[in-house]
Amino acid sequence: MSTSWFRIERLLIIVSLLNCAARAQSAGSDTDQSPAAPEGWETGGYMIHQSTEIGYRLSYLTGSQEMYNTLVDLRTGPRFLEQSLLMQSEDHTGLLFDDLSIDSFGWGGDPNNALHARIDKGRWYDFRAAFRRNQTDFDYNLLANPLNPPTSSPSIPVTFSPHYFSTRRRMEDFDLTLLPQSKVDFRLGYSRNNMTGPSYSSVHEGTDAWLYQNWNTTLNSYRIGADLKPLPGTVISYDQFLDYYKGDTNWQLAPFGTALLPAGAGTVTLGLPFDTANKNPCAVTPPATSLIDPSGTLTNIDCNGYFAYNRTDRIRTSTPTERLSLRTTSIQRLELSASYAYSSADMNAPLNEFFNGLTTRTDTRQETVTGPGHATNISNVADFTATVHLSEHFRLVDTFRFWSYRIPQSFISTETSWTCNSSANCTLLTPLSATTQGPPTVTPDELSFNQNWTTNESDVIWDITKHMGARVGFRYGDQLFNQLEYAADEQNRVVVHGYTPLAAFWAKPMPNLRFNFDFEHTNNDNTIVRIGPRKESRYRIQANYTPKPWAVLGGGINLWQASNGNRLIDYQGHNRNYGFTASLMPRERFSFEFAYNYTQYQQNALICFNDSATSLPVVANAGSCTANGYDEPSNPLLTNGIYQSSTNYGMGSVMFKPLPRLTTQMGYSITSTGGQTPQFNVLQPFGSLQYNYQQPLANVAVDIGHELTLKAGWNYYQYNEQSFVGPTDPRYFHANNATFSLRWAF
Amino acid sequence: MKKRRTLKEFLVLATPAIFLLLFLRPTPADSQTDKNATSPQKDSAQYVGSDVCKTCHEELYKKNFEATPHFKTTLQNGHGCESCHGPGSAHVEGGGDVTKILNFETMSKQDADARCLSCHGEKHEQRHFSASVHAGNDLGCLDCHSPHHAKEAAHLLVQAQPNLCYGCHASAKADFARPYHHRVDEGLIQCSDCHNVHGTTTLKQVRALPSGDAVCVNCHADKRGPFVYEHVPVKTEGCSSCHTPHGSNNARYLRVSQVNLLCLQCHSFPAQGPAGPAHNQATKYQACTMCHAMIHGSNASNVFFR
Repeated sequence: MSTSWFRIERLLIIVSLLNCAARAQSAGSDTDQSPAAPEGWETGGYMIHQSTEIGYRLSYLTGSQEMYNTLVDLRTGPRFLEQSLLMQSEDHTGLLFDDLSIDSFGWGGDPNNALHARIDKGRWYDFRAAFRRNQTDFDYNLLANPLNPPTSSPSIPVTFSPHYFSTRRRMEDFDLTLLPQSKVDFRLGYSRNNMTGPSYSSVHEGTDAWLYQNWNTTLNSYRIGADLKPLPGTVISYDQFLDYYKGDTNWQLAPFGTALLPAGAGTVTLGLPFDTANKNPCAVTPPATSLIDPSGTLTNIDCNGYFAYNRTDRIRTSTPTERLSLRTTSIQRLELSASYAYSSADMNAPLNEFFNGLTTRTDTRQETVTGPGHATNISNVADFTATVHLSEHFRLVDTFRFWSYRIPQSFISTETSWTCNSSANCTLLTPLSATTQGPPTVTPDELSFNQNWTTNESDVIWDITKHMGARVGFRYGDQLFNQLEYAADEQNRVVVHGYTPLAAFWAKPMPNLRFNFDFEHTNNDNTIVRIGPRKESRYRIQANYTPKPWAVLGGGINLWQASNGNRLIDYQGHNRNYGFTASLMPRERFSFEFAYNYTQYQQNALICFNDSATSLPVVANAGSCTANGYDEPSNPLLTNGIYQSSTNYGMGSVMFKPLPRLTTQMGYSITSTGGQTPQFNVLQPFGSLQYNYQQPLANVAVDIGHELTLKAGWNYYQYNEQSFVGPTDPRYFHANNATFSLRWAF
Repeated sequence: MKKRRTLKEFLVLATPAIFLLLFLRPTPADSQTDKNATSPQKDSAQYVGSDVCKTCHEELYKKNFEATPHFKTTLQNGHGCESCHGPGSAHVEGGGDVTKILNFETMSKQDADARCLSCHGEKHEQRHFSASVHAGNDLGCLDCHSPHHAKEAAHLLVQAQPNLCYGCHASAKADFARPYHHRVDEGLIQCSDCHNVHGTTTLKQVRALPSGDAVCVNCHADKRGPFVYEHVPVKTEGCSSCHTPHGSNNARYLRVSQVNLLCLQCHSFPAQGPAGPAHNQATKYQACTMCHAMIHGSNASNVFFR
């Protein structure tokens, strides 16, 4: 409490100081009642504009904190909400720079914050920098949840997401262009992408253990390039890129389902799934009635469990890439752009895995797996676009892209197991001295993953009049996929040819009214994955109407459908989207915005599965895979694996300025979804299949003069799933967030 | 059969080449872009310099030109205003006759774009514009940019992203409002981080890395690989075969609400794809990824366990 008060006190002091400073800066300039645009401040030959907004956010939550963090994650505390600085040399003769702009937002604890900066000095240089940071607190408790049944003894529901993330990604980009307007210019760049933080995963070794995944990955990217302009309209560029990736994530055993071993022999971690009736992690042995007795002691020591587990996989990937590109308009009627890039990535990942516990199926008490993993990716990318101006009204546009890569891969695993000397007496209490260390099993694995991908699209564009035009074209594509497994002497080779006629039409019957229509239909003669479409169509109709300069109306229909009619697959998919928007600002004091969107999505294919829950409709009504030509005895049931959802989205927002110095805004948005999908498990909640997500808001801003604006905002978030929660914690939440801030702009 | 297909492929690829050969000639003195642009002042007009323009258009010059990046056109003996509007002597001598100088409001989109691209086309970002889907649907530079009246100083946009894009792509606005979405509305990333609105050689104007990899791995660097064991659809179909990148109703941006169903749609039976799981769905886990945790690719497990 005292810490919070101290923070508020500090904030108030800072606000007061800024207020005084602002008053001093702008003394005598507050006679104008209207919140006119800040005039800036002249000093040192620069015109300076600056703004700063600081404030405090209060967040009151009811319901699931985990879901709130997953979807919103705005928390209570002081914030440096945003800042901007613009400096422009008035006569463009600044010593170090002519223009400087820096803007940023989200400092002080918000999940997203970013800074963008740009500095340039006329014809000498142009420098841009960006910093972006985002915090991801993902704890959707249905993801990777084993749905432990209440009938298990003991019943231990998993109330969080076993694959929980609380990671931070920091991205920095720096780009410098030297002599940007010269015949030869040079470019230098550097980017860094670092992701750290705790996350969790799981591993299967007898049972599924929960793992603490200490995330730490870094990508450093270096760029250097030059542009040469030998002729007017012609530029030749060379770029050299180097990406260096470091994956230092490691995995360690996390405690879940821990139990004491009898006779004070320590503790064992039994992992995430608790379904003793189905022997997860093992069955209850009578006379015990629970796998863990009231004292916390394990009653069945012939059980899958973990004493220790850790894994490191120190990945190092170096990817140098060279690119040569050309653009020219020096040839009459032609605009040509082309490039070629060669890349050769090299990845090394030495695995070190250690397991100590018991895998009852194999009587393994301890196991280590080590081995070097190695892969390279040799890639060639060539592309060009050419626009030929056939006449005043006709253009031919050709777009070509070729991407080819081969990835030779190898992993030589060395597996060493400590197996119980006596299978009959193999338990968690078996000491390592009662096991036999087997000879290391060395398994070399060599593979190669190759793909060639070529597409060419040719379009004829006809500008019929200034008010309408059309486009007709054809896209041809071929994709060659070739996967080799040398040890098994297997080859998986698939070639897909795709043929896509396409057409478009646009019309502007009036200068303020515009229609667009797009259509394309693809026929593929093969597919690589089972639900890859053989036929695919897209239609898009769009209209934009601006009846008055202050009224912008828009509407659109987007339709996508795909299918694979193979009788053993019967894949169907579609996305049907209809929407319109309206933005009205009849007066400077009043504006209104409205949007509505409806989306229907479906994806289904015949599936074979194995399920003994005969009370479920999908099982009761399932057909026979064998009777329908499938040959998969372990998955005998046949059904249409369908996912269907209908989503309504609506939003409205009103801005009203009842007084020149007072601005108010109210708004509301909702995403409402319903759908269907088969239920395979009686405990399986439908989760996000049906929900309402509502976000009303209200804001008030008062211009108090002296370039100061007081702002107050209210945001409400409500997420409400509309089905049973199963053996998980409810995911409903609503939150009231209030933000009070002071903005100073000059 | 094979010969016929090869012939068809050859014809498809050769058609554009034939067109190119028929129509190409070196451009004479002036650039292609100048030739395309309507030039009412013709050859007689001379450059008069930006200071002359300023005498009549002082407010526009000071507020809407001098403070914008286009002021650089005056440097290195550049023509300033006339870099875009063409030589102005006829316009001046005509007492400000608007028909005697290039006026972007009356110019065709192609001509206006050509004027802009005469400089901006040199940048890698804008090189494919004339072949882009936007240009092919009659969208020109001035539909998104306003050199003199920009509301967004960065890139002189008529409106800031993402609202500028939502103006036409209304479905994207709804997508980014879903519970699971990339943080575009929050300002962390922009539409143009993933799409090059000025054109690419890929579908949907999606950016690609110079090595050809999907733009997604720019941020999701751990998914780039190469891996010892690649998960086939990640490489052959792309991230969007399992995820909807703008936004989703489902956790992890998945296309469907339940992980198992997504997996089963491909892993169903060996005759039509990879082998399916033998697990009893009534007694086993809610998500395949509980065991197959390294589903985007693994360096140590061909079933993506670790």
